[in-house]
Amino acid sequence: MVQIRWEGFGGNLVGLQAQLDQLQAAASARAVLLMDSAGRLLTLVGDPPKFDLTTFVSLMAADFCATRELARLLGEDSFHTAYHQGDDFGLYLTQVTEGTILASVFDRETTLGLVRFAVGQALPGLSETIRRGYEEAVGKPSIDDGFQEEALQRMDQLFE
Amino acid sequence: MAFVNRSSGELHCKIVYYGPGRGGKTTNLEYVHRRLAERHNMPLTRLKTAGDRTIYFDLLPLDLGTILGYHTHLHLYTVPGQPKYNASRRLVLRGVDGLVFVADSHPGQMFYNRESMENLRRNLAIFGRRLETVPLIMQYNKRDLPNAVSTTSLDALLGTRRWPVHEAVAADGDGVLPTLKAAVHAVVSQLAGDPRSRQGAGIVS
Repeated sequence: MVQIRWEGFGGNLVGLQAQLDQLQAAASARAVLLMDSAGRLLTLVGDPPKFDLTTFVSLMAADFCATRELARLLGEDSFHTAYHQGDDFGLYLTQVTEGTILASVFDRETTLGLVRFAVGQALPGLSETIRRGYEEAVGKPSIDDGFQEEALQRMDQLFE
Repeated sequence: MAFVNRSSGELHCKIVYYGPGRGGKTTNLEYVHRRLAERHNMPLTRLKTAGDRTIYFDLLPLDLGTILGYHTHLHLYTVPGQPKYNASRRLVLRGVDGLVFVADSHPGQMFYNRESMENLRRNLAIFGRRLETVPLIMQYNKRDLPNAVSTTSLDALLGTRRWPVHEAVAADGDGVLPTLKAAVHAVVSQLAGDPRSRQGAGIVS
């Protein structure tokens, strides 16, 4: 076994999901997703999207990071939220910690005001759980020696 | 740096295709996507201008399945090559695990090749990272051009003797998969702390 250089989340996923479940119910959102600013999913509750989740999460993170750059150009430290409204669906993005973004996907069953309120209520608890999750993860993961060989075999199989 | 979600058993690696505009970065991803399209439903997302140029990034996710307990995801990104889109390039580099630098073999592109390499170095520095510590595969693209600059000259221009080099004609698919496999190999080697990794081991203890 080797320990690997990494960054990541190793905290209490069950506890985190319980908080997100509570948020989803309070907001009447279709789904709530947590991701990092590099576009990698931490976890999701609610209806899983029918499209490719990796792409969805990457685009949301990119959108939020671009918005943050816009804020900096205007002399702001950050825009802490971003909101997109369609005919049937809305998307409300919120910065939870420096590197973590919360995305709430909602439909006509709820309102932006309710989503915003529920997210605001949940943020302190979520940010604390996430901060602890990253701290608990430090130095723990390791992978077996055969990982490298297996990964390359999978690559070959993918393109056979 | 690879992202490990121990709680859900997922591992994510991000590989970014960098290089000058119209050098063939998107063409690389399009070929990989075409090769996979028949058997795998993996979408290629392109954020492009009306003129079909990349404005933010292209993204192709690859799912390698579960390897020794980790559900392993590769995220292949391109950046926009045009100089004016540097803010976009910088954002895409966040959290990068490996790089493919797609250099253009056309003699008229040498200035832009070098400029892009210098830009890459500067952008990594913003995240506190050095080019020498990130796994990088060099691809010399458009080798079919009758007036293609020699590989020796490209080596001298880009200082690529430090990095593995692959020649390619991405428009025909030549060299695309070997480049990608080399990039995955380099990333996984560093991830696993293989001392043979050219850019140094990633072992933390």
